Amino acid sequence: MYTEADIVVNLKKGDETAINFIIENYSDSLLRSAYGITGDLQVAEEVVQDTFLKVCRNINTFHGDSLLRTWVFRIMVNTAKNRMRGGWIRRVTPWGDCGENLLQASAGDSPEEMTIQRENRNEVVACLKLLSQKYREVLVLYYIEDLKVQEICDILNESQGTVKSKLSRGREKLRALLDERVGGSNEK
Amino acid sequence: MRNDDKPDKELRCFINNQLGNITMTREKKQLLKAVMLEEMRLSNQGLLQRGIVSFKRFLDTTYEISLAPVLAFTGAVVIGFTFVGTAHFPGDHGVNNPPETEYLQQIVTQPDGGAHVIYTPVQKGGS
Repeated sequence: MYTEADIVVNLKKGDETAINFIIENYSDSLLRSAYGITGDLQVAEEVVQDTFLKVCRNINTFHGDSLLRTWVFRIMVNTAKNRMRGGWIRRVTPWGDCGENLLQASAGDSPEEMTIQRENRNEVVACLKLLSQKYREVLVLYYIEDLKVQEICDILNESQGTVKSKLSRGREKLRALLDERVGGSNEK
Repeated sequence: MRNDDKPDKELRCFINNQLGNITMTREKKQLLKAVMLEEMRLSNQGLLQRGIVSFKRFLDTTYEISLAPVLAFTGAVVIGFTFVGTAHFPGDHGVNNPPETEYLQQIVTQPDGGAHVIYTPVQKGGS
């Protein structure tokens, strides 16, 4: 069983097992959060790839002041923010043609159910996109990643009061938007 | 039941139901692993080697360039050159034109009834 210290030490050595470990444990949650923040799956994939590359390049600067997961998420949030800010020149990350469908269908899901689910998912993402960036990142980390307020504070480098306030206001705005756009479907 | 009355848990549940099933495909994870291993291998090499690889990557990478800011910048340069450039390079409209010579025509009547035409040169313009 790997401890976090082992992972960091082995990552610094470029060990394949450690790389496997962080990809298996972090890639899905990073992708979900990046999708929630950017509102675009392709952009989210690029953000995740850039995040892992930054982890590789900067692992030697990680001294264990925070949890590895917190550090990786901080990199992802900053990468996503930079990506959203945009610029007049942007590198296109090549992914190849492998596996376009990211939505895993659970066994027994009918095509109708999958369509409804996809539509609802698009609505949730659309509602998140309508919120300002400061609310969106807090809501994504809190609701999608199920992180505690203190962890969100560490990731965003903000005080508890600020995060709680953003969470409260963002939640109200998101509920209002979901009420308006999805109607009763979120009351199930 | 209105959403305002719902406990936090229900909102979390709803969002998680919609976004919780998004996962990265196995192929993309493998690709990610290969990219990371390459990056790690590279970080253990010398500066020159890393520089060469970075340059090769730069040549192989596609960049998206937004046209709007590029066009705005080009427009600003053209307009700027039009205004500032004419002040610096006045061309034919400046103050350094050579003086032009014009002639005043004067007709003097002679006592014998004949006329004598005199042209007097006059310098005009110039600096």
